[in-house]
Order: sequence, then structure tokens, then C-alpha cells
Amino acid sequence: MTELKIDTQLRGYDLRTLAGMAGRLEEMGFDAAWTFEAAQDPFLPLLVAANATDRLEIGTNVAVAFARSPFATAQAAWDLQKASRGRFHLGLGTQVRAHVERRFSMPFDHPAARVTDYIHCLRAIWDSFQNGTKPDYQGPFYQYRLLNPFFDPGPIEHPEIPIYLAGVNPLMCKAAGEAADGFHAHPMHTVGYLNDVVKPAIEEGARTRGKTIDDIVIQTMVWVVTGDDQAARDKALEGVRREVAFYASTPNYRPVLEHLGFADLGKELSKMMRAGDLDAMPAKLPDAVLDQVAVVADKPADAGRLLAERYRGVLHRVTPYKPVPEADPVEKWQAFTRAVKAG
Amino acid sequence: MRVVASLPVEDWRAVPEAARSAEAKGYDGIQTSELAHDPFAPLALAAMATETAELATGIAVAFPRSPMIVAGQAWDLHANSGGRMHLGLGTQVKGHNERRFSVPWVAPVARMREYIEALRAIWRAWEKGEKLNYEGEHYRFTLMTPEFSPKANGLPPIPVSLAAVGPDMLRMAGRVCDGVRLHGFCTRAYIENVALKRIEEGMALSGRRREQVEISGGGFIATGADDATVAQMMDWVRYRVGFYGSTRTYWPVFEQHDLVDLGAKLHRMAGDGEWNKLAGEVSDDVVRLFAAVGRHDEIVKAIEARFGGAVDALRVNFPDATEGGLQRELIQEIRAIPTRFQGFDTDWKAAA
Repeated sequence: MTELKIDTQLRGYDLRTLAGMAGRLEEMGFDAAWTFEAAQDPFLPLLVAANATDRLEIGTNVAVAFARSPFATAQAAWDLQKASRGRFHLGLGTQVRAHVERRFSMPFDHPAARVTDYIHCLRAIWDSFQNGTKPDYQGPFYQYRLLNPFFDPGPIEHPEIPIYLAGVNPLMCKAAGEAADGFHAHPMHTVGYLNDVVKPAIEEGARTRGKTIDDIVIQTMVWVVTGDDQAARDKALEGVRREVAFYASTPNYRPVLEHLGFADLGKELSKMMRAGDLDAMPAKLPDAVLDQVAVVADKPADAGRLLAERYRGVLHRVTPYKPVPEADPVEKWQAFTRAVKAG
Repeated sequence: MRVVASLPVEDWRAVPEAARSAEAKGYDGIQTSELAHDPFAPLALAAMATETAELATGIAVAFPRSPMIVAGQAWDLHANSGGRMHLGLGTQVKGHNERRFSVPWVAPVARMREYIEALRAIWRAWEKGEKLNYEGEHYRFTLMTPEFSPKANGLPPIPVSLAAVGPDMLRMAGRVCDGVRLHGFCTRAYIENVALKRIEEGMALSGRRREQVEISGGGFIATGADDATVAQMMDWVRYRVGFYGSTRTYWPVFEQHDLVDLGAKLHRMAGDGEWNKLAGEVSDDVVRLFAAVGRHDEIVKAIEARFGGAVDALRVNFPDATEGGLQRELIQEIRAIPTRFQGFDTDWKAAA
């Protein structure tokens, strides 16, 4: 595990200017660009990016799995893999119960088992596209038993689409080991949490099918703060403190704080969140937490070196949490990506 | 008459040029379909490559995607095309929903109605900042946060049309939708005596005006430069009529023409696996019931006789060999055929 890839977020760009931006991201030296499913569909920008680039890998981090039938996802992924000539990664996440049930109006029972079934179903669909295998998949939650030539896109040149599963708790990490090719770690993590909790759980899952942790590509987002002077860095860091405080208030990420020895902090922040005391939350977050979840440096190249120091040997790909601003010069980010690679 | 071109969806690298070329030829719109490929993504490329053409899914299969997903994809396409998105939806059939898409097939007409109502509730929440609170029997949407809301874009609402075959779906489509997509397996008599009646019943229930509801499709077009090409196209229609006519669902169309015996014969033959002989049972006269037929110099009149006054939009594709100038000319002449539809309702209606 020597190579560390440096990726970026394909998020918040206007579809109309995205083609040019994707080309610049490639020039900046990023290995991959990942979309995020929030206020923008995660598949449409990837298509535009695929057509505008030659080398840049593209993927979702993540698409909400349960909001789409496996066949609809399989079809979109197949088209993207074909258009990108094998550069697509399908990152899936379960989201949380409230969002799946009340925002997507879809079922959320047994999320880890359900998403494992979902992944197996995707592979059965792709197998039938590629090899003409008769559709005969029946899992506990999903089935795939019908295809006719009308609806069959047929084989493609790079049929092995890597599936990444996103997760925080050990159950989902284990599911990734059991079924996925990659794992999207959440930016709300520390290296200690990755080493002590996430990776052993992935390994446990991987062993159930004769694989090891080394067979699973791990990607994470990281808060990266740079700025030419102290004032600019402080301002950016305060923004990160707000975001981290928000995540820390969510029960899903409490295990990360517990691992750091800040179990009570999570509960306190949750209480403040419920009370609507949002403005006071960031101040509660100690530097000891922030130092471990964020990377802070003067220059992009320094940040790149710090990222490499922290993550090389721990995982395979890192993605700065913030997308590259459209107006940023190519050279600035070239210095950053080169430093990660050299670091 | 609005004239729409099919967008190729197999090769995404070919999409921008195909879209540009269709717009340059004078087509009103461009549409994808959902067979073996995703129907939404190519429209993103078409949106970037064109300025004025309507962009439509014709159709996307609804139930395999949460309405929230479809609302978001259509929204992004609408916002990035200056308001040119037209969302065409269909239910597909039970077998494909359950066994290909692994989604339930329960009360499709009622479920589809809720699906469309939910889409509109979601879009209102985004555009007008209203609280999202749609509670139906099949779909419930009660959670929307600022982080997951695209910005209001000041555009008119996205028109939604629905593919409908059975009487209940036709009635519901007329009641709820901005457009109704008729199946190709239709004759003029069936459209006038059955389909339009059901649609108008639905429109009356909600007070929709015919001028604001676009009815599209409802037949085939068989044309070419010479009689031999027209004959080839007629054989293609013959095959389609034979294929659909073997299915009982479509016999109400045959009933309009005392052709149920033909349907029964096709059904028997299909049951015996004689698929390649079905077309042979469909005479030229029957083909002419289902299609507008004629050489390029005859086809505009034939289209007017077959579709004029009954439907408002047609998908018309010319073989690659057809000279561009001629295509432009024919498209302009077809567009001159008068229709009852005048334009989609651009008001953001309050939630029902």
C-alpha cells in the first residue's frame, strides 16, 4: 500500500461550465473526481465530466442506493462506465433512516443487509449484460429475474465496475468487506479510528469471502485548510470547526468521538443542536479533535505533504472536503497534487 | 403540430452532435426513451449542445426511482437548459416492475397519480420554499432540509406527461398531467372514439383545458423518398401491429374496426411461437389504419389526415440518407398542421 491517490470533489459546479472545469481538474493532477448526492443529482455531472476528460477517474461519493431500483442504478452505471471507457467507480451509501423513509419514501429496514443484497443484485445485472447470463437473482430484499434483448445494453469493454460502500459504524464497514471493492470513509474520522475500528471491521467482512483488507480500496474525504496568512487560515478553520461540530452532534458519528475519548462531547453537542443553540456549538469543539480531523498548512504544497504523511500506508485515496474553486489557477493545485504524490 | 426527434442514447459521445443537428433541422424537441439505457443523462449533454429545443424523457419508467430522484434529475436538467425540460413518465408493466426492477406493482394508476403529485409538491418546496408535506397512500414526503434543496430558479414548472394505454390511466393522465402520450398501436378512430374521450373525462374532473394538455403519438409514420422505401417502412409497421395485436390488452383498438378476429388469430399464432409470421397477417389496409403512409411528397397530407386535430405532437425521424434541406422543409410543413394544444400551463398551482 504505497501509492496514495489524490482526488477531488465534483460538487456544486454549474452543469454548463462543468466540462471545462473537469478538464482543468485533470490538468491539476487529480486522480479522480467524486460527486455527492445532495442538492444535485450525482450521475448527470459525471457524464459531462466523462465526455470532457481522458484520464480523470470519476465516481459517486455517494449515490443513495435505496432511492433507486438496482436495475436503474446498474443501467446508469453501465452507461457511465462505457462513456468513460472504464474510468467509473460506483460509490453507494445507505443514508440514514429519516432521509430514506421521509425524503425518498423508500424502505430502510436492515440497511447493512439490504445494501449487501443491493450490491449482489447489481453484479447479477451486470453479469447478464456482459455475459448473457440468465437473470436469476433472488435476494432477501431485491430480485432480478427478467431481461429481454430490448432492455439489454449488451457487453462493454470494461465490465468490472468497482463498487464502493460508504460507512461509519462497524456493521457497515463489515458489509463493505463482504460485498464491495472499495470503501468511502467519512470525513468525520481520525487515523486512529480508521486503524482501530474501520479497517478491522472491513477485514472481518473481507475474510468471509477469502479476501483481506488489502483487496479493498479505501478512500476518505479530509478537511484541508490552507491560506497565505494566519487570519485567512483562522477564518477557514473556523468554518471547518462549525462543520465538524455539526457532524459531532449527530449520533451516527459519536463512535468517532468516543474513540478519541470525547464521549460526553457528542452528547452535549446533540443537546445543543436540539435546543437550537447552533452558534455556541463550534466553541465546544476542542483543538485536540480538530487537529486530528483536519489538515492545516500555509501553502497547498505543505498541505499535500501533511496529507501524505498522515494517510500514506493507512489508505489509498484522499479527497479534500471542499471542491476546487472554479477561479483557482491550475498551478496552485498542481503544486498540491504533486506534493501528495511526492510526500 | 410539434415535431420531436429521438435522441440516440447508446453512444454518449454522439449525443451532443445529434442534439445540435436536430435543433438545426427545426425540430421542436428532442427525446430519449428508456430501453437499454438511462434516459436522463443524455439529456444533460443535449441541454449543453442546444439553445431552444425542448428536452424530454419519452418515457422514463417511474416506479424504479424514488420521486425525489426523478424530481432532482428533472430539476437539474430544467435549470441548466433555461426551462426546457419536459418529464415524460410511464409505468411499464407488472412483470418488468417486479422481476426486472424489483419494485412493487400495486394499484399502478393510483400510485402513479401520487407519484406525479409528489413530484409537484417537491418542486414547489424547492421553488417556493414551502414546507414539504406530501402524504399519500403509496408515497410520503415529509422531510426536506436546506442542504438537500436546489436553489429556486424562477422558471415555470416542469411539464409532466404520462404514457397511457388503459382507460383508467388515460382518465387519470387527463386529470393530472400536462401531457398524455398515446401508444403507437392506435388508429384515428380509436383515438377519437376512445382515448380522447377518457382523457377529456379526466380533464373535466380537474378543470384542465384541452389547450394546455399536449397529446402526443398515437400511431406510426411510414415514409421515404420512393415507393420501395415506403413499402419497407410499411413492413416495419406491419411487424409492430402484428406484435402488439397478438396481446389482448390492445384489442380495444381492433374493436373499432371489427378486427378482433385478426387479434384472436395473432394471439393463437404467438401462443404457437410463430412470431415471424405475425406480420404476414396484417394487410396494407390495416397498416394504413395505424400509420400515416406516403412518399416524402405525400406524407405531410397523410400525417394531417391521420393525426391532424386529434394529437398535438409527433415523433418523426427520417432515415440518415434523407437530405437535410428536405428534412427541414418537411418538418416545417408538419409543424404547420393546426393543433388544439397551445402551450403548457406556466402557473405554479397551489398544492391540491
